[in-house]
Amino acid sequence: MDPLESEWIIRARSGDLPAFGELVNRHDGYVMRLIRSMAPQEEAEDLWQETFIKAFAGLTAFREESSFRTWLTRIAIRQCLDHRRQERWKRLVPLRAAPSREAESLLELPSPDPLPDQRAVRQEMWHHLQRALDNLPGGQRAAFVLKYVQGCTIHEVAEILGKAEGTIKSDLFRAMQRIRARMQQLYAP
Amino acid sequence: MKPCPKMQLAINLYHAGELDDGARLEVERHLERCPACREAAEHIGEIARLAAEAPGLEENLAAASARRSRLMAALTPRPPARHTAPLPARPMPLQPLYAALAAMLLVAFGFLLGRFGGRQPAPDPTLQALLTGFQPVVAAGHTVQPELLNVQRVRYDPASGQFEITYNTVNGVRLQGTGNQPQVQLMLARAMVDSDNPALRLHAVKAARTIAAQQQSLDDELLQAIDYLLSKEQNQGVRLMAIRVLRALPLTETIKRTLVQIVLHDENPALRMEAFDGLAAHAGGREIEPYLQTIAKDSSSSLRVKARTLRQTIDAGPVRSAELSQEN
Repeated sequence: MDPLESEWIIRARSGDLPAFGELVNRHDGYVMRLIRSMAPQEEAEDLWQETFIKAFAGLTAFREESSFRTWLTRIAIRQCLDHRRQERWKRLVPLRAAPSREAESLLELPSPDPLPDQRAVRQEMWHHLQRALDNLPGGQRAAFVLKYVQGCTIHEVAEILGKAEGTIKSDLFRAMQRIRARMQQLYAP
Repeated sequence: MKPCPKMQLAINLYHAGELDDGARLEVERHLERCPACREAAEHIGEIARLAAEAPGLEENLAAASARRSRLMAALTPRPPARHTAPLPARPMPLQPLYAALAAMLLVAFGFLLGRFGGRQPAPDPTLQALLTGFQPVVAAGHTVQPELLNVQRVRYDPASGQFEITYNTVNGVRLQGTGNQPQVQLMLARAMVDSDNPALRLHAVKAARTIAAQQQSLDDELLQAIDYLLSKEQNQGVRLMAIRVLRALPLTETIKRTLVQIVLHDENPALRMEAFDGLAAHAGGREIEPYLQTIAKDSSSSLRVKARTLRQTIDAGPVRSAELSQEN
């Protein structure tokens, strides 16, 4: 571990807020990017803040068996999954006929109007990818985000999520299959 | 043309950068000569690139700085209460305060629940305001907010007809009751939607099927949970059981539409067959008749055979139908 980071951790454990602020500065963007891929945008800042508040409160329990970033990632993922679990209970809708696939596709097709530039097209595609991510089970989504959005190796993903590497490979494979199916459905002629 | 099934995992790992040199070369050679796998690989690569470009770091620096300041303000110890504290320039976000308050109240609530087992604690208005969602459950003499429930185990005793649901707030509490009690159904719904344990979800759905068979109806929350499982559940055994719950209920128009959607669109052939059987069992197969032509082209040969047999049965009428069943 980076000696400077180790020193910040030791100081932050004894309640040194500026030292914890240094840790926040270092990992801020990484955590926000992770949370934005795991949770609704409007909830991202609250979840980001809760992650760091929990990290500060739990620093004494951090035994440096993994890197600080790995530990922080675990907290953030747990926050997002807990939030998702609570939300899905609140958002239950009455039993109804599932909309037909055709109708669903029409609803979600990108606008036929020409988009101003390539960046807007990518944003639109990212939006659809996020919708596909929303439909993944929590574990598969976490594995996909850590691997493809955060750029972790499978070994790191397994360490963060506390699963075997084989399970992560299988989760990633299933997640990719589901995302492909959904994206193909959206963009098929 | 479909990509080669044996290569799919390798192609995924190839794009994940997780193959050694030998395996990577093997995949590349395969991609050169297999257009279907090449197309699949391109699609996977495109999704991987898109994910890597995820927005998140593109916000302006001022927003990030303000966010960090708010966090630091939230972490800064408050001055003693006896002083009249000036209002901070940036008000502390409410959510951490609520979380801390909720945690304290939960501990106090659980303590009271364990200590005064038989008494019904007065509902705390602050807690109720925080924990929104479904109505409180009155179980084992306690009022429990559904947000607090953590169902651990579901058991059914066919001899007594009693369900036993073990749940946990702070202290373990066990609820016993029959299927017509709303709190039993609400807890089953909660277990189906909230539990990460597929075995528990399966037990809960089986219990719902028992209730559906006994009463021919289910409460709204339980039906909502069944619907949730049908659309979101990953465990196919749980989904199959959810269809059996619907089969145990009278075939309303809504349930019929749900089963038809499954027959026509579900990816799992076992589930399509189960839904088909559910529809074919009603009105001599007339409920599914308008869809038989489509089902006769299903990718599952068993389902195609079922559809053709039902078509013949319907066309043959009652007399021929009896002959066909004897032949089978």
